[in-house]
Amino acid sequence: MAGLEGLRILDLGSGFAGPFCARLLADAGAEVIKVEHPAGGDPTRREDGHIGQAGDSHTSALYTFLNQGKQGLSLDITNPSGCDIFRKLVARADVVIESFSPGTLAALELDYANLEAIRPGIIVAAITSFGQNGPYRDYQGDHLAISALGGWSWTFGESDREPLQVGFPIMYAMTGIYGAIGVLAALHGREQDGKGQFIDISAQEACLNMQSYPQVLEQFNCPPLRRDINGAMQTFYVPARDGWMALNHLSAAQWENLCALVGAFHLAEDPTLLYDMQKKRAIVPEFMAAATEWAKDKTRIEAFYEAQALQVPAGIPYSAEEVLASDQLNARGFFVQNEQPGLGKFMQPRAPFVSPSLRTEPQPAPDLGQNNAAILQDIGLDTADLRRLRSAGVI
Amino acid sequence: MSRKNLLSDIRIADLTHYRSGPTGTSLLGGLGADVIKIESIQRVDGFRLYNTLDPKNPDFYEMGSYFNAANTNKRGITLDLQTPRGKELFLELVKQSDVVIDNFSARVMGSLGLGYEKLKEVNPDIIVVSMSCFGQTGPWRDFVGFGYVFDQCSGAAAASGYEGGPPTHMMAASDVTAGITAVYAILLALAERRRTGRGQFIDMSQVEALAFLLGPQIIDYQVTGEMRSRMGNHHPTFAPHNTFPCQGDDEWVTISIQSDAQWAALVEAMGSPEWTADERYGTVLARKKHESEIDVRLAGWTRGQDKRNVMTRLQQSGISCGAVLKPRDLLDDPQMEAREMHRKLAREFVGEHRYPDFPLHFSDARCEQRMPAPTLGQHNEEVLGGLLGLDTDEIEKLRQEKIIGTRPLR
Repeated sequence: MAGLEGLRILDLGSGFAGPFCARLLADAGAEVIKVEHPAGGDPTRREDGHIGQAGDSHTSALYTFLNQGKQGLSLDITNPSGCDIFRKLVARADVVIESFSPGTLAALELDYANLEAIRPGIIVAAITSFGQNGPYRDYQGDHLAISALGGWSWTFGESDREPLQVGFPIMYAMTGIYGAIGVLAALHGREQDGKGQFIDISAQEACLNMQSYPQVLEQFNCPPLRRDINGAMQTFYVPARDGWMALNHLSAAQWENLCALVGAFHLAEDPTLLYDMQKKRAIVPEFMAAATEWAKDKTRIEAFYEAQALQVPAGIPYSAEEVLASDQLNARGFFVQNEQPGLGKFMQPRAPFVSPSLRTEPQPAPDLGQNNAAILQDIGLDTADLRRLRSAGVI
Repeated sequence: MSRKNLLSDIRIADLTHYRSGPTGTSLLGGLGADVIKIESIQRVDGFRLYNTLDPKNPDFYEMGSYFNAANTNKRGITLDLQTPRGKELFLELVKQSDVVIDNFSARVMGSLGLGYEKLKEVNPDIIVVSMSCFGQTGPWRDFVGFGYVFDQCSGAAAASGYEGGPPTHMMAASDVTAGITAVYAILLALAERRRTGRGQFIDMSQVEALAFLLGPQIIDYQVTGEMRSRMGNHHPTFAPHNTFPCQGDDEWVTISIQSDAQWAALVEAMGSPEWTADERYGTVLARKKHESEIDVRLAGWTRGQDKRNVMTRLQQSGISCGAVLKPRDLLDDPQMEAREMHRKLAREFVGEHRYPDFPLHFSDARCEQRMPAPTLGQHNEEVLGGLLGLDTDEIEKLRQEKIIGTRPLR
C-alpha cells in the first residue's frame, strides 16, 4: 500500500502545474479523479510534439506524463446539473485542486467557503500563474512571462544577448511540486484539529524561489550582478572525441584536482582564484587550452571516469536519448515501461526518489471521460441519468 | 486568532549543506517544523564561504548572502561527528527527531557509522532522506557532483540555451528542484508514518530529481524519434515567442502569441502597422515559419518603450507578456508587494535584509520566513542543554574538546 491510499482528490486542473500537483499525489496512491470539460478536455492533450489519438481522445507525451494514474471524468461544471454532480463528488472528497483564473469557481458558487460548507475540513489548492490577489491576478501567464516576472530570466544568458528561459517548463513543474507540498502539509495539520485550508499557489513566486537570491545579493552590497551564463566559471565545457563533456568544480580541493587532471598544476597555486572572478577570467584561456588538449583523444565517458577518479565533479550534457541510455540511471531502474493508448509503449522516469510510499507500477493517463460510468454510479446515478447527461453534453 | 503551524510537531535533524538540502529544510522551518542545522567547527557549511561581504573580515563566514538566504527558519548547532562523543550526541538528537536529512556523497553517512540501520536502532520510526548526487546504488554511486552535474547528467543542460549555442547549466535551479523534491518526499513519508507507524529510508538522487521533470521530453523523443534542439526563448509551435529589447540599459519584455485572436490583438495594440498585413504572418503556421522576421519587426516596436508600459498594454489585450525584472525590480514589484513576498529579517553580523518568501499562502496557517539563519553554533546551549539535557559543565567540556564551538577551526 502506498502512503496516500484512501485519500480522495478532485483534480480540476488543466495545463501543467495543477495536473502535475495532482499526479504527484496519485503517485503515492491517492485516488484522483481528473475532471475535464467534455468538449476536448485538457488542452495539453493536443499540445507539444506528437499528438496521438485513442477513440475520441487525444493524447500527447505531455498530457500522459502529467495525468497518469488518475481516473477520467468529463463534466461541464458550468452547467447546473454538472455543478450539482460536482458538489456530490465534493461531499466525499478530501482535496480539490484547481487552476482556473481567479474568481472562476466563485462565479459558480464553488469557492472555498462553499466547498467547505459541503465538506467540512476540505483542502482546496488553487494553482495559478500570479496568485489570487494583487495587480497581476488577471494577467495571462506562460513559462516565458513567468520566468521574466519571477526574476529568473534577467540572470540567465550572455550579458550582451537577450535573457533566456529554461528550455523546458521547470517553473510550472516546480509550482506543481510546491502545490503537492501545500496539500500534504495541510493534511498533516488537519490531523491535529480536523480543519482544512485554502492554499493559494503562484508560479511567479515559485520562480522567485528558483534562483541564487540576486535581490538579496544586491542588498548585501556585493559587486553588482551581471547576467553571465557562466559567471562563476565553475563549469567548463570541453570537446571530447565524441562531443561535449563538462569539468566542474565548487570547492578549493576540487579546483586543485581539476588543475592537476588537465596538467595545469600552476593554476592551482593561487587560492584566491576561487573567489576573485576578475583574476579567474584572466586564466580561463590558459585553463581551456590545457583542458581541450587533455580531452581531445578521449571519449566523453573516458574523460568523465578519469575526472571522477580524481574526485572532480565531472558531467556529460546528455540529450534525452542519452539520458535513456545512461548506465547509472539504468542500473538504478530509473526508467520503467508504460503504455498509453494512442502513443504505445515507452520508457519513462519512475518517481524522483526510491521510497515505499510510492506506487511501483506505472499507469496510463485516462481517456476523456474514461471512468464516467463508475464514478457517477458511485454517487447514485443510474444508466438513464447517464444517457440524459450525455445527450445534454454535460458529460 | 493566530494562524496554525502545520508542522509544529515535527523535528528535523539537518545535516545538509550548500544549496540543495538547506533550501528544502528552510521551507520545512517556514511551515513550522523545528529544524536543527548541524555543522562542525572542523567543517562549516561550504555555502558560508560564498558571496561574503568582506572576505578579509574575521567573521566572513557569517556574512554571505547565499548562506543567509538559504538557511532561514533553523536553529544551528555544531557537533564534530568524527568523534565518539559527537556521534553519541547526534544519536541522542536523532532519538528526539522525526526526520534526518543529508546531502553528502553516498558513502559518507555509512563511513561515519551513521547509516540508516544505525539511526533506526536508536529511533525505530525515524525517516531518513539521503540526497546524494547519483543515489545510493549503481556504478556511479560514489561519484561527486553538485548542481551543474545534476543539470548535465539529467538532460536539463542540453535542453537549455541559445539556438545553435552550447549547452548551459541552470545555476541554482537544479539545487532548488532537489531540495523541494526532498520536502515532498518527507511529507509523503510523514503521511505514511501517520497511517502505519513506520518510518523509512528515502534514497534520492539529485540527478534523478531533475531528470524526472524532463519526463515529457523523454517520452516525446521515443514516440517521435526526433530530438528537439535548443531553441532559446522560441516555442516549437507558436510564434512570436521571444524576449524583446526595451527602453533603457539591458531592459527587456517577453511576448508570446499562441492564437490568431492574440495576434490580432497584438497588431491592434501596435497601431496596425503596414507590415503586419503581410499574408506571410496570417496563420500560426505561417508566423512560425517567418518567425525571425517577426522578431526583428517586434523588436523595432518595443525598443523605444518602457518594459512595464508594454506589459500593461498587452496584458489589457489578453496577451501573455512579462517585463524581465532585474534583481532590484523584484523588491518593488507591485505584485510581489501586494502578496508580501519579501520579508525583513535582522541578523547579527549582517543587519536587516529582505528575503524572498515561499510560494504557498494558506488561509489559516503560516508558511513564511520566521527567523534568520543561525550563526555558527548559535543554539548549542539551547539544544544540547534544553533538548538533550546536558548541564553547563558538560557543555563547557564539549567546547574545550572542540566538539562544539562558534568559530571555524580553519
